[in-house]
Amino acid sequence: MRKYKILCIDDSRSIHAFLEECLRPVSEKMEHVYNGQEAIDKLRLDLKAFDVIILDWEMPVKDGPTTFNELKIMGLTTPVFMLTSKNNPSDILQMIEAGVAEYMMKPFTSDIVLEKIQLILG
Amino acid sequence: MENLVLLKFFADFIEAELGIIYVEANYYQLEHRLKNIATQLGFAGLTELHRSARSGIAGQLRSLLLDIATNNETSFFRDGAIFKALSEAMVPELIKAGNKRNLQLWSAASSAGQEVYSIAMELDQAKLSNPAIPSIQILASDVSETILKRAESGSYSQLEVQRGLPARLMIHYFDKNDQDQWVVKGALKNGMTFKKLNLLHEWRHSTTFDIVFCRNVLIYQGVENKTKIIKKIWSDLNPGGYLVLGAAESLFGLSQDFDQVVHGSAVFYRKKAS
Repeated sequence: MRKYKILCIDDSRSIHAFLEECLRPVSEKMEHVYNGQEAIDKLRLDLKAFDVIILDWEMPVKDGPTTFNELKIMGLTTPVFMLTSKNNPSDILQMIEAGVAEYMMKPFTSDIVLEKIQLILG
Repeated sequence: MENLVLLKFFADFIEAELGIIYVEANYYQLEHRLKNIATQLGFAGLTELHRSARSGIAGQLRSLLLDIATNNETSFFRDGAIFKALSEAMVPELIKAGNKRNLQLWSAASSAGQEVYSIAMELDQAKLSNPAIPSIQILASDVSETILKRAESGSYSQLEVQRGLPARLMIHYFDKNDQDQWVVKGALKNGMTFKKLNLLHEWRHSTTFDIVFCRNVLIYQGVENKTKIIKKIWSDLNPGGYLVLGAAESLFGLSQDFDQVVHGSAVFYRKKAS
């Protein structure tokens, strides 16, 4: 099974722990940050450091959509998966149109997130 | 021991009705499911359910027993390569062969509907780049009335709708209601009909088909039933029509009446000219 370098951006430590566990089969390494600004600071050092980014919507300091837009302006091409409890069609459409690779809604199960990552990254 | 006799009674009923064989190693699973039925129908336990069943299995009990025996676990675009094969190979070949009228498609074990809606979405998307794709009539059938009703409702929980379905398609083809259920938009259901059908019983359709999906059905059947089902589906297919089986199933040793076709990583079968 192919392995990926994964960056997880979420303010919930339990989500980090869950993703660490469920993505173990496809994870070469997983790094964790807890708001959008931390992610931007990390990616500014190396925009191509990760194969996939998992991004929450609601976070302190800088939220998911703002973070995604700033990363795009910086030239990020890494696929970004939204993983959020926001499940309104208009929110989903907004982020799909903005260019996220996939949008996943909480609650979710490990097989859903694993399957979607494998599907998009091949 | 007493439980074993009782469980065998229900296992025999399921085998006779559906051809699905419950081996003793799986009796614990059957027992668990029967206990749920007993509770649902107001029986004190398995013994009471058995006593009632011995005097005849009909109505709600019959329906519930058929439901528990079928594995309804599924997702959208399950074994995704076959859907690409549908839009890139099967349908274009049928058009090339002169079939420009409405295509007739049958999903023979449609379960909760993910397969038929995946077919409809795949072909609707394919139309964007290939306007020659004609309208499709889809018959969805299943042995379980309960699951067929679910299929017809086209309503899925948030977890179900995320299994195999890209968010881009979910937003395009589904509406979210106040109960957080995602419901298929009416337009996707155009040309679809739903019908209860047991593949082991006699059936008659009002049309013949260009494509039949019969996935993950044969795997639960003995050789005799497999052969019987394939023969009947063969007679329902138009010449040159396609049969799609599950990814773990094949016609090897069951029929000489089809040619195997490979497209990408998908394998399916074309009815030979008679």
